[in-house]
Amino acid sequence: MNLLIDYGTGNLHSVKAAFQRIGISLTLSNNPDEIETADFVILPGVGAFGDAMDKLNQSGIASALKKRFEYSRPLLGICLGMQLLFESSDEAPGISGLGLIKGHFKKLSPRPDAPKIPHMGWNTLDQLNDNGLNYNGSWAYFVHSYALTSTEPGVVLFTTHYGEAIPAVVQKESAAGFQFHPEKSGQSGETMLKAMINHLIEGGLNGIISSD
Amino acid sequence: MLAKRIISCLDVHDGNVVKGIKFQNISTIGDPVELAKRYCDEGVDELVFYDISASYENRKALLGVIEKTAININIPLTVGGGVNTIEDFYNLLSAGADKVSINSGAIKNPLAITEAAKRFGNQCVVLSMDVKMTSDGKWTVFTTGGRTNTYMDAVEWAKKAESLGAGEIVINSIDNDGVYGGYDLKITSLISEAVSIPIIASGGAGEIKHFKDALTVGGADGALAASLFHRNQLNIGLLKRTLASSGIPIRLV
Repeated sequence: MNLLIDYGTGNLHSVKAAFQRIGISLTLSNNPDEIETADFVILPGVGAFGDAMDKLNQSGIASALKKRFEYSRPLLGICLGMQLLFESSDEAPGISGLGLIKGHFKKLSPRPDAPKIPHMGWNTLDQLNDNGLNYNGSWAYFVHSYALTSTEPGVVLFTTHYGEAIPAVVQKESAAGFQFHPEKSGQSGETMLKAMINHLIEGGLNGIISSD
Repeated sequence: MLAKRIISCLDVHDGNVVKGIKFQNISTIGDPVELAKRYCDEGVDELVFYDISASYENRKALLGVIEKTAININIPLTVGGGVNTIEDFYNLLSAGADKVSINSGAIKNPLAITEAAKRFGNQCVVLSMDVKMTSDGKWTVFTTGGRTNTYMDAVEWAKKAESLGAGEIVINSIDNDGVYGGYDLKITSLISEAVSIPIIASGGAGEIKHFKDALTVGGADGALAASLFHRNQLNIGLLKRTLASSGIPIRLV
């Protein structure tokens, strides 16, 4: 079973629909036991870091996700969902993220060539290391005000440029994240989703389509 | 490099896309789901549904239209019109909107911006303002489709909205709306310089040059048009290719 975590942040339709278009049916769930053991789990996110962590902690989903990661089960965080994989954010001082990957999110500050915050709109991806994903130059839709800093070496696979290099795709072991919204990134978003699933899951896309 | 956005706006009334000139003489143009899909395929960067329904029943119909549209498109969707409360934000976001725009609701209760930004993140709170130059030469914020003068200075209201937590501002020129004579570049650039959140120019696009001017001279991050696209007066692909070849960063599909 493939789950889309529903923790009350609204708008899950478009994520669900994007996966439908690439042949994967996602089931909404807020059940920690299911979330811990499902074949594949998506952590979406629209909202604020502190509020989202409160909800994940209170519902028991946070500990389910930590166990899931210990057992190397695949997990993909999207936008805020990616930020929650890390330790902390300027958006919610003193609140701990899931901490699956070391790293902090800082508030973006306006720069002469990137004067507007949030970083909102379409931007292209730049490859940082040889990681087997062919996203270089792809257009992705970003909406965020916080950017990853000071993470573990090798975690950042792709960046985008907005005044500075901003981490856009991250991965550590079985946990990966997109800072942008693949479900809002047109055809290229769907192509990137497919490639990431093939990258994260043994047996690739076919492995989880047949498991439903 | 961050691309400048071309945005297609669909005014929705009673489940149909409609267009009026200067907010008057409303006529039906087509089915919102089909039009949204078409623009998406043509390469538009973002869609806006603006609900001009007045009644509660029509508002419920809108939620159904959003749900159907959101699963059929793969680009961002903003919904506005009649938004007043945090519940309105929640309902529209839950139905599938990525951003919600608030206009007169924020004038009545500016803290609605702050409340929505806290709960859903400021990136999904869009302040939309209808602006008109009054006889004293000042850009002033109007409501009720340009009929009611709030006597609020447009630039001051933009700055206030930013400080309250808005993540984007749409500047709709009532004088220029629906008359194809170009965006109001002056007020667009004044607000763009006054705030550090993205600015969308709206109202008045009639030809490719108008988009180019809004995105360069006007300093806008995106340019929005409605009837120009609905009536096939301008093809979105051609528009984007022309803008890209003139050196503006544009996403080509």
